[in-house]
Amino acid sequence: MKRVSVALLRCTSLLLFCALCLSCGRRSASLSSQQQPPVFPDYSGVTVPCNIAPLNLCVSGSAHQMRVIWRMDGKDLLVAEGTDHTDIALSEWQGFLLEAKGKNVEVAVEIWNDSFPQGIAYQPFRLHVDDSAIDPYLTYRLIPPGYIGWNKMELAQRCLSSFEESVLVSNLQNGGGCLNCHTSCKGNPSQYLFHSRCKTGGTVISDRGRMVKKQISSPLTGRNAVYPAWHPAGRWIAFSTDDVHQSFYNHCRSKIEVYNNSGDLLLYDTRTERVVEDARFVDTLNVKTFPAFSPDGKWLYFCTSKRYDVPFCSDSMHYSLVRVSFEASTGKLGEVVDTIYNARVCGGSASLPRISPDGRWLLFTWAECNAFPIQHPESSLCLVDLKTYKVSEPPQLISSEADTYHSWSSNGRWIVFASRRKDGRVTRLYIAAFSNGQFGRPFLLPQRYPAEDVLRRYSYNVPELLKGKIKTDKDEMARLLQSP
Amino acid sequence: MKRSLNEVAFWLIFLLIGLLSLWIMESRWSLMMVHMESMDFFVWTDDYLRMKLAEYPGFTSLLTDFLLQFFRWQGVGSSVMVLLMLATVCMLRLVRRCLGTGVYGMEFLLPVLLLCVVPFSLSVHLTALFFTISLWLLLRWRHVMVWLLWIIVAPWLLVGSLQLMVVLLAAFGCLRCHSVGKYNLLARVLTGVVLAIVSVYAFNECLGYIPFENRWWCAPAEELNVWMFHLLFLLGALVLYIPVPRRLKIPSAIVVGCIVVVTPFLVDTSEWKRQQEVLQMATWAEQNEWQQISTSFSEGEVEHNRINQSYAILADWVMGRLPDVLFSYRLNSSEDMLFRNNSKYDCRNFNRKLYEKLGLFDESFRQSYEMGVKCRNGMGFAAMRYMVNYAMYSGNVRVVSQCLEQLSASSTHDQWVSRWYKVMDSMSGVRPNIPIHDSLPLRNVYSLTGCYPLGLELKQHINDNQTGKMALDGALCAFLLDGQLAHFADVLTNNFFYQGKSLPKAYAEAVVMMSASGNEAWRHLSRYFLVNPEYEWRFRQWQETMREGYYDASFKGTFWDYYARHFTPSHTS
Repeated sequence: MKRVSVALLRCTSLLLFCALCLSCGRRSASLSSQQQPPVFPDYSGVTVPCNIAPLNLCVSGSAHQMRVIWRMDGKDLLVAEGTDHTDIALSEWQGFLLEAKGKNVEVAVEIWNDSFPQGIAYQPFRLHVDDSAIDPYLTYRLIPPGYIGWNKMELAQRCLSSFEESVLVSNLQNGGGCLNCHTSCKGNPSQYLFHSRCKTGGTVISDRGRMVKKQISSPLTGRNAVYPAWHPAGRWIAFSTDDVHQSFYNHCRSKIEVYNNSGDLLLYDTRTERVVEDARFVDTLNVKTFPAFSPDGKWLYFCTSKRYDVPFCSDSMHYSLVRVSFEASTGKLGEVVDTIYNARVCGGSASLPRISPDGRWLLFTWAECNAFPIQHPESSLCLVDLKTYKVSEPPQLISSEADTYHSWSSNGRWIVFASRRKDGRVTRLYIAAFSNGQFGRPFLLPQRYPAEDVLRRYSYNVPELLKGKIKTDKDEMARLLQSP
Repeated sequence: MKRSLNEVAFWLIFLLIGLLSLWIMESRWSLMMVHMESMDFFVWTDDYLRMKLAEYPGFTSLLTDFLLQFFRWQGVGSSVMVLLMLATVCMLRLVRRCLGTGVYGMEFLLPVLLLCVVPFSLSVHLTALFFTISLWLLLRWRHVMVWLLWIIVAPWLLVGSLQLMVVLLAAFGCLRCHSVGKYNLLARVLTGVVLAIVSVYAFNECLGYIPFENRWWCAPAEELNVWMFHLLFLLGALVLYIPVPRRLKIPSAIVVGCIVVVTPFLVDTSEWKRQQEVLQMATWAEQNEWQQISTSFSEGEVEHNRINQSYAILADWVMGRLPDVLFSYRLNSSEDMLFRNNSKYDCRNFNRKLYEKLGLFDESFRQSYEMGVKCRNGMGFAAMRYMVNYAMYSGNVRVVSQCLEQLSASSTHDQWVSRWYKVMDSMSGVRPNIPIHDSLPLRNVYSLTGCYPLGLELKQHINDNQTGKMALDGALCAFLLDGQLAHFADVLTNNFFYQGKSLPKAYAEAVVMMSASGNEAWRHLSRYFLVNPEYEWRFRQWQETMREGYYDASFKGTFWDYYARHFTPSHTS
């Protein structure tokens, strides 16, 4: 009896050992193809930051198994497997990034599916892991990709080194109202603001631990503050006071026209909690919008157009990009207004100026007309060299759909922008490297399940990079938002 | 023998109430049941599941949406609702057995009341079922482990206040049966209360933020007052606890029976009836049963149901009869022909159909989206299906794919989605690689909707050759309703459709009136069209009555009467 037991035990051990060996052994694809692998997202030829979240891939179509091998100098650094997608463990990925930092990496994809039951190995693609890091957090608004109405909306923050996404403010906290125009002071997570549009609405300003809600409006026109820009020194916030409306096209590629009936500039002093206006920038002849401070705080950039009867003359609204000097100690705007991009001469319309942290480059969105480029399929990002004032359209960023809402990283090496290039309707976020006036090929914000992100019913709107995580007390925020 | 007779009586009543409820729901509220699916949305995606679980109570919310998907097929909705009601009755019967009190029939009180008060709220019925299961579980299995397990599971099934109610009711039951020691019971109650409160904060931290009061104290149905919701549950459970003396058993059973029978008659169903009527109109419109809409609309309805009038107008409009009957409707301007600023689901649904018939599919797509966004989950199945239709009509293949991808992640649209993919495949052969959408102009300010009054909006589309006779009639009728006679004359004379033809009533009346005016440009207007001489004769009669200052009711429903009431100074003042 004892012998039988020992024999059984040995047999079981042998079987277990065989099973272990088989499971550890890697079966290889028997076919090879010179084509690029049918995977999503497309990371070929991109440059990624050295602290980015795992670049998971999924098969476009169905698959029984897929394998992705991340190689450097012929050595397999990381092998990720899955049925139709990979889900790389964070610790493994971070180890890989440490080794691959500053180097080129080759990514080989093998797929087993109904067409290739023995497996097929596709042409490997390359990408570069950059030395530099991107800011660790990203804030954005998640909104339905629609028209006027909404149900749920939230401001969220995402850790770029992982897939952690958390809600900063949800419209459950303000009774279902709108939340918009969030921005921070130089990416500082303790200095940020956003608007809450509801019965008890206002502008919520969180300034180094102190959170207040203010009704900021123009004393001259009574219009509410809309698009913000926080001065780098932290004291002043510039706002435009836009009167925004929407109309809807039929039988056109554009579906929506968002237009300003009017727009002026105002400055809000966080120290004295007072609004300052310059009468030159409060008028009915011109519409002014999208203020932005230069990183040294000496210039205030904004977009301006002659006012027309909108929406009937929407296509006549061409916004030029201008700047005026700013004195932070007094809050006064200078005498001379410089034109950076003259829309009347060069054509089109400029919006959303964003200046690189070194002050050398200015990125704005160009569209044929008006100043709401996310609804314009032709809108694209344009770069201005502020030394030569030469304007160029970076070829690496061009797409057939709207590209806009760009944000620079604090080291100036990366931009994040929103684009509808995937389906022309839902806005998703892309990251691109930047160096010496040249952009790298943009790549989609990495997600744990890339295929499911396509099914996400919300658009990513107004991304902005942050140096850290914003910490909020949600109950306190709800109380503040609902207080009169 | 007596007991078995009671059993038989119970199951007979059980069966009778079940069949009766099913019959009422199928015969009276069948469209409402299907409509519940239209407003539902459920997909097997990480994002959606997280959103639902973050709601409170997460599992009930998820299960509600999951089940509602199947209401798309007539009969399923009613059956599910009735089965839920009967299951709750069974659970309450088990509770009563555990307690050993109450009288026969008490079990029917809560489920029947709920079915009468909120017949179209699946989440309330699921909550009732989970509430009764919880109560039975804690009374039947008194082991401390069962309590602890329940305390962990309960936040996924019941709102905080109901959890507390279950704990207290179960403790009360145990106390009466002397089955658990006093201190033991106190510890259990305290643990239950503390964990019910802690779970609210834990859910907020881990799953998603919902204000404390919304997690703690809310009703799963908007139409049900929070206090009423809790009162119903408390009443439904407490009646099982009342020890009834033998002599009062029959009278109390009669009282409960009366409540169960009388309640359906006391509940105000006018709002549901109105809703059912609107749904009937919308269904006929979807099936192009315009004649049916036209005949079933009665003028008296306008007082309480403007949307039915709008469907009746649309029916006449589609059938080409609108210019003959326009002024028989109660309208004050062209904006009454649609619901421009009303974002309610039914109104958006009407607008969607209107623009579909006008051939403006981008606007139909937008209206579909806007009706979807009003649904509980921010999107509805019906809206999504319409969006696929309209995106396809517009040739926007990428948007069609995007919507189909979303719908394919639901449990009930596999066949529907594969049919559409087949359509797309067959289209790609016709227009290889060039989606029609990309060949459209980028923008055209003349194609805008939502910024001009209806007449001008349609006039632009007529000029742009985008629409047919419906738009022409729409523009002409809208101009007449708004008193914009110059625009009316402009569109009528610049369009060949009515030239040389006999004009319909409203246009003929307007042309007669305009020709009779001193305006040189309009004097010869009637020469371009065939106008029945009777209109001229009637117009002279009307002028007489106006001059003499008395009101002749026979002119009601004419353009002249409408014009006088809306645009002449004496009337408008």
